[in-house]
Amino acid sequence: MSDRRSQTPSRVTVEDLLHMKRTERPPPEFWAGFERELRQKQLAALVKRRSWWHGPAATFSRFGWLRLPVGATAVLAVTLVSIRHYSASDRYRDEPRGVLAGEKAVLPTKPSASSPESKPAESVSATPLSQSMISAVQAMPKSPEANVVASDALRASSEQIVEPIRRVDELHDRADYSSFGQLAGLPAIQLGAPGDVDPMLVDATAHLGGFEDRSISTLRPHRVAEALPTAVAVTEQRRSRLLAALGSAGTYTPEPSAPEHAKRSVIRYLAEDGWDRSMSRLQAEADRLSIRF
Amino acid sequence: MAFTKALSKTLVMTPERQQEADSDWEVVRRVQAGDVAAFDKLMRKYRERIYSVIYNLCANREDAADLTQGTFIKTFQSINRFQGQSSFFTWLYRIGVNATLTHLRKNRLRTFFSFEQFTEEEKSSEIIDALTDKTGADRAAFVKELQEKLNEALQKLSIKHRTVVTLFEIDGLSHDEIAEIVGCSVGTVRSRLHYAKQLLQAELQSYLR
Repeated sequence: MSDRRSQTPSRVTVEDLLHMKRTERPPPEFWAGFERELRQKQLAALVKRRSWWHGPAATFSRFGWLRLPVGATAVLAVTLVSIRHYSASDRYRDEPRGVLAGEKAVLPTKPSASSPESKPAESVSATPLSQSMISAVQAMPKSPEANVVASDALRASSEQIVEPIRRVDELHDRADYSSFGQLAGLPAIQLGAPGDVDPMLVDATAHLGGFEDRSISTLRPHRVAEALPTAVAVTEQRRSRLLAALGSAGTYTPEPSAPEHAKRSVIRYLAEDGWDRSMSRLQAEADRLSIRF
Repeated sequence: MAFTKALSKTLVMTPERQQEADSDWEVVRRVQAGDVAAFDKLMRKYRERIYSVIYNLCANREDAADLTQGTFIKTFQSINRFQGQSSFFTWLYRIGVNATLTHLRKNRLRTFFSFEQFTEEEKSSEIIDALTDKTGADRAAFVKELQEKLNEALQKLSIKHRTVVTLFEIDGLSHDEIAEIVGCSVGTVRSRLHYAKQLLQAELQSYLR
């Protein structure tokens, strides 16, 4: 035993203990099973369909060194696009906002010569021109016929209103506020100073297809003037669609006649004495006469 | 400067290693050319060493077997991408070590140990003789206890330190090779090794004479 001890290392180190770990080996029969399992797994891996993203991922992994410059360029591009986008939207925000009821006009102008004592409350009341537009617009969704009539009225009104508003806008751009007096009496002046858009007109046009309250409220008068023909165009499109639908159905007549019994009752009523006393409203519109009792 | 750095990073191999790497490269090229059976030669050559490394890292026989098989499957699937820029065995080790580290990180909280038995060889017998005078059943019990303590101490190391210790002390790789496999500098390898040995020494103090 002492001989054996003399042959052994005098001092056992950590390295010696770790060398003993090398002797922790599986038995030889383990490798036969290992190889068999490996074959099966290899076959399974060959048969298994790889996901679609493995191909592009492997391709991109070859260009791993490009990750940093490409990523930096992408971030820079996104930043620039964002800055451009937000600066464009800020341009609208910086312009004078339109004034609805209760909002104060931001135009730093001299008061108009034609209406020096005009107050914000006055601009709330609808002008006759805008009133006709409002009634036309409000009549639109009720029936196809009303839609047609309303679109005609709206187009006529917008054509009347566009030109003076353009003139006002030109004067505003030139800062020629003294010439506003020359436009006194024109329908556009009834809309008030730039930014004082008739709220009823705004409300009416805001409910047309393609318009929102927000976009209208932030527009200056010349923008409203630009928007009105668009509104008419939208109405025209609806009218065309309606005509096409009715025309294909074969039921549309340009001048629809009331049912016979209604006609007879109206004639009988008009033949009676004193019918005019019970009349509450008589309205003439284009080639149409409407009476309300 | 960059050239010097790149040069210093290249693996300095002994002539035996170089010869081994060359022969491996020949076999790899045959596999790449379509000779699938040639891969078996590589697999049989390295399976025990790969298994040993993985086993000492995860301390579980079953997991080690699965991970070794997975390593060879992954190597086979990717062998066409191997360009011979490093030696095949370094590349194979890197795949195996990375797979094991991923497995250990995933299953950090679910750890089961199952160890192989010590096979008494001449060298290990000498060490055991130095540690104890016991014979027979007492000696076997002592060896079992020593094995448990040794594995316990190794499992107390962090994954990084355990990897370096396993590759250097158990598998016998050089610092350069370990640095290439692990993907860090040689200085880092030396530092980790030094720190790991200090910890092991503290843990196994009662067995050191």
